[in-house]
Amino acid sequence: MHDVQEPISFADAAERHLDDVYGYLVYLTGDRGLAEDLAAETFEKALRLWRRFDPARGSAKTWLCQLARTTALDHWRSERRRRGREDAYAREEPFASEGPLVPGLSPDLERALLSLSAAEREVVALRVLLELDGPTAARLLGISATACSTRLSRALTRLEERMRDAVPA
Amino acid sequence: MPSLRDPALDERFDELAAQIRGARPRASEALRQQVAETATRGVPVPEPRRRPRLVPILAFAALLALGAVVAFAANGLRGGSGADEQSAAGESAPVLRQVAPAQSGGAEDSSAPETAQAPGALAPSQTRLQLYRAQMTIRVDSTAELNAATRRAIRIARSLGGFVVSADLRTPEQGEGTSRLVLRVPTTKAQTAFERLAGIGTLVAQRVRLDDLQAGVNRRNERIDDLQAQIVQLERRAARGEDVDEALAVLRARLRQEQEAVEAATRRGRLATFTLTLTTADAAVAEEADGDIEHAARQALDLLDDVVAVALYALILGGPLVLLAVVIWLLERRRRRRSDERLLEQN
Repeated sequence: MHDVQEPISFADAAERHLDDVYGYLVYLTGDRGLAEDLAAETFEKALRLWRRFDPARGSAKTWLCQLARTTALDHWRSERRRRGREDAYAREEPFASEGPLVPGLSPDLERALLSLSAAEREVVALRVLLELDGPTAARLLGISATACSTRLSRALTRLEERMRDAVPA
Repeated sequence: MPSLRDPALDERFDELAAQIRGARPRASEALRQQVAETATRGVPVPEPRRRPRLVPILAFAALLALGAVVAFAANGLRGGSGADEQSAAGESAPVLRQVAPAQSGGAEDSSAPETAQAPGALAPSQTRLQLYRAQMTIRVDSTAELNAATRRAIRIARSLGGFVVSADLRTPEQGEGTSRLVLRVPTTKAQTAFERLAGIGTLVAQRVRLDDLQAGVNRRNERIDDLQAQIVQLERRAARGEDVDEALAVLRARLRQEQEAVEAATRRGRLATFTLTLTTADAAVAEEADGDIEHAARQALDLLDDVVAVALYALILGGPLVLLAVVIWLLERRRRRRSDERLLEQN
């Protein structure tokens, strides 16, 4: 499915794509609580920057996901600086939230997802969950379409392997 | 279940994809409410960037440097244009064109003017017959001064024994006024005429041409002497009864031709021609019989020359700065992308 041009009202875009942005951030961060915070921050930012959105260049969904990605990266940069200042140890567990990451996902699949890196989860979210086409996802990630395809293939292969490993013999 | 659209992927992932899509995360009601409240605030006026970024600063610095270069180059070109400068009352450097006369010799009407010593100092010879032609462009400050200057130029010509061949005064309601005069002045008074006319206003352009006529006249005089000598001999022979009437007639006809040619050359050299353009416009180039279209075209070409020269100058000096800014921008972008990749790998 290819992204199509959508109405330009911010309220419409927010209502229509909140779940897309939230879902993307859940996959990207591996943390539901963090994903919620970042989603709220993303839409705050989107409201301020809405005038820059050009429907001719891409869909609102893509634009919002790009904004969400930037928001997440900014968060991790500031977290890294904070940890550096506080001399805290890095988290080894990818998340610390209560309950499943994605309600409805099998525990094995969820564990397998969380064992992937954020970059791998991200491409799965964009290509599988949000069903963005290859070129659009590549553009959002700032990589070539080939690299995006390779990353997706690797992520899905790893997911499959982890799930297979989790199945008791 | 629809398979993944990427044709490079195996269909074996279809089931996995279906599981992922079947459990699409949904935002909580609290988040939904929060975003809805955000949307009701309305799109604000764009805020200025709080945090300056390196690349725009570098680009701006490069543009500043480029602008300085362009301004310097333009000043340099404007100040240095033209062969010689002649200014009065602190005016900007005018564009002058001075015809460099060739060496004397050749036919009567050949261009063999004398070598110029300095702007405005091209004086005709007092011992040789010369064709003196001068074009002068003089700037005056206002249309009122234009009328006065025109009358003054005519008085100068007449006071030196000359006369006005033609006068064309234009003083439009808006725009620049122009007065074009063709004056003839005894060649012996040409230098005086030049100096007095130059004093009417600000001399912004001049073109003086001297063509030597003396050499041609000398050759004709030699032929005249020779013909006269031949005629005298034939008259003696005629006095002795010889039939030389036809030969005499031919020689006498040729003598008349030569004498008439000498008289014509003398008449030409006797009076100098001044083509005077008085204008209220800024510096202009004096051209020989230049019309409005030619003048406009020449100005446009001069301007184009300047523009191209400035552009080349800026490109040579500013180009490396711009290139540096671009390289820095590309490196910064690459660094940031790698940093993002590392962040994603670490989280």
